[in-house]
Amino acid sequence: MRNAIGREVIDNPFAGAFARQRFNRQVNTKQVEPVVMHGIENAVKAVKLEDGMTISFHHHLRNGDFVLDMTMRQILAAGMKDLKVAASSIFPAHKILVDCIDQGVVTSIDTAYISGPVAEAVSAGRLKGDIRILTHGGRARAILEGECPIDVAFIAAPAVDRSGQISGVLGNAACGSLGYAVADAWRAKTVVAVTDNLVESDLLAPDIEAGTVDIICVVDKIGDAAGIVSGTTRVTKDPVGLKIAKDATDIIVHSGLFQNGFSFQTGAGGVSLAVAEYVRDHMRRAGIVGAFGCGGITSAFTGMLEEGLFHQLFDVQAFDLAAVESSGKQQNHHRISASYYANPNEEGHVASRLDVVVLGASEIDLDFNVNVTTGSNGALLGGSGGHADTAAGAKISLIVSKLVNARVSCIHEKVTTVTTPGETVDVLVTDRGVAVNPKRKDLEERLSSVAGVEIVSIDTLFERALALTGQPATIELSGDVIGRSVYRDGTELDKIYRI
Amino acid sequence: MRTLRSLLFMPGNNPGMLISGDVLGADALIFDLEDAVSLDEKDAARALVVEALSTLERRHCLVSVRINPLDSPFWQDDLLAVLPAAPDALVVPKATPEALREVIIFCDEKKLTLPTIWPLLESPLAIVSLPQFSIIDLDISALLLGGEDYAAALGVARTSDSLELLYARTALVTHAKANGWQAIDTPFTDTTDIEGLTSHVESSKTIGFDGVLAIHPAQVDVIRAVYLPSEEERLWAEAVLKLAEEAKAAGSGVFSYGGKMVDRPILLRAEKIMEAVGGGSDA
Repeated sequence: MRNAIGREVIDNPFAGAFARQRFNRQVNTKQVEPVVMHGIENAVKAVKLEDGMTISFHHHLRNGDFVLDMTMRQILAAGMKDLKVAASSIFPAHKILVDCIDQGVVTSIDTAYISGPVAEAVSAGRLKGDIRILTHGGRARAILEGECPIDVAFIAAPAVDRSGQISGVLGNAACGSLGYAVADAWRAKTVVAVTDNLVESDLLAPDIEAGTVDIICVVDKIGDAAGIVSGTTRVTKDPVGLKIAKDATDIIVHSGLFQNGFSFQTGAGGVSLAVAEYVRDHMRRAGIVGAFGCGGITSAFTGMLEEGLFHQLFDVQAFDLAAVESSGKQQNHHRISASYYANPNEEGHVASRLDVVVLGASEIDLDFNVNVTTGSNGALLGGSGGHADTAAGAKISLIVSKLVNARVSCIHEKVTTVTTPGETVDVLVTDRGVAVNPKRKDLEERLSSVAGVEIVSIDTLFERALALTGQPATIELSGDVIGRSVYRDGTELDKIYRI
Repeated sequence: MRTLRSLLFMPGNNPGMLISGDVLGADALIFDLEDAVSLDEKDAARALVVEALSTLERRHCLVSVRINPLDSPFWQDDLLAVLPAAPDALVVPKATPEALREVIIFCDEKKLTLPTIWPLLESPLAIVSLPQFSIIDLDISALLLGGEDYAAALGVARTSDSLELLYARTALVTHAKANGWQAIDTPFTDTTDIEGLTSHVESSKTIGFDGVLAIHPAQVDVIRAVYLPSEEERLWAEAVLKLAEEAKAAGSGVFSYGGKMVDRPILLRAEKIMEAVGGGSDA
């Protein structure tokens, strides 16, 4: 069947970014007293896993996470079969999943991002069931709504007290906000807090409150906090990247939204961070104080909070150690849940209050659909994370990208995989011109007078790219479907193919 | 030709930089076959530069090529390779009137068409020969100063206030202006010192240079910013030009502004300022 953007899907077709909205604020209803045990092997035995169950993990320790690895090793040794892993993201540190996949221990995956050896194994068709690539907000929605029921949540916990309250900002593996684990804690039938830091005094302002944790499992080490540092986290020095960042900043400054109360999010890529730096300079010079910055938080944003350029930060995950430190001590640096951040069912969620978000793209097509899930050959190399959530929520979503990178155009007639539907993407900023989505005539008119910013159609940009690259050969996908790209409301945007 | 505020060197052996150079905001690019390219990469750089010249749209800036100097074994191959690809200008390093004549003879022999020439003057001999540049049968449109080699030839170090270049800078500007050519100052070589660069470009502007050579993309914005007229200058120029129009309409050739008589040089300066506000000109 085909969905509203003309893509073939398996089931539950996407009908439009805002076609399915039902505000339904969810709360925690669980009230249990935790038991304490030592060693992950004992916890895995205690939860009485059965074949076919769903287990979940969060990714706040990112590539420094030990908990998924130690848990799956026990499960692998126990010879379980047909498990579904609902991990909020999967990194190279989680390569144990490749063995689990090959031995039929794990046969399906729900996640918002996947990279490294596990992505390669899944793309090669080694997963017996399918993979669903969700959004961060969509994952929280799916868990809270019961669309993705979780049997056991193994929650890496940098600090836990005896009542089961969990904090992400204390301990050797402090990783900041635990926002992606909150829905799991609320809804999983059994919750295991895996910790190397069981504290005797009450934790104040925990990320996960008392009543949700069934088992506190004490282990030697849950992870290496140095591994949380995300991708780039440094402002680009590439002159072309800086030019793109300057143009994006000019657009933001002239968007009509750049005033007191401004709200803003960028990713952690080098160009996005450069935009954050330039915006910071403009805010200083114009004397603007923003309402909030949000998302994955970096030192660029904690610095702006310290400087008084934002009233608040809403932090669903820390991208660097400065963000971890700030989230534990700055009064207005709020650690929030993924649902509060971007669950489309949660009225007034943070993403829906954003003025401007700056995002990347591995591909964008002539309808402004964006792909950050696969490469042009269809191989998994990422996923939405909060991409589709914030593009839908923000008043202006900007995609920043080199028009041609490594001899490949970022613009394609059709993206290989739709991650974010074009109706929610407003502006593409490249080094060779800026394209405004024709749906945003108001914005095009406003930006047409910005000095130094050349507004052209996306077709013109595509022609400029082809003038540099030549007409690329068509890459034929295999036709064997291995998974689905799922929109934040649970509908299907696209199929994902074996390579 | 447009006013050349910033002329950015791009290493001829770096395809990524060659292909993306035209988006960096410089008024002109100089694809470099000389200093930026090691001896064993001269052939490869030539091929890359030719390819880039043929591929780039050149919508935003002029694209020139700096060939190797005439005391090297490479300059003739450089000309044979790049001139058919029609660069907008040719930068001849270590330029002297004699060297330029040699270039003309070679190109005549090989039936190569020369674009406009931007001689790069890098020696005391070149500076004292300035009057002779105007009598060479060549389309020269800008004179460029290479301060590092010039100072080395004087046997002195480069200093932060460029006192060692005092004569060369003022002489080059004077001769360029006398011939209707643009004058382009030597680059500031510390790419991390933005304050030093700003000060250097301010002095270039004060002396009368139209623009400055840049050796790093980050220098382009600084150069442009220094040359951009201040708000005060813009308001002054707008007022002067408005009064000039009114005087013309009233049939009066003479008027004053702020208690000072406005004559032709003042009007020209006001026009130049408004051109610069517009972001370059086709003078």
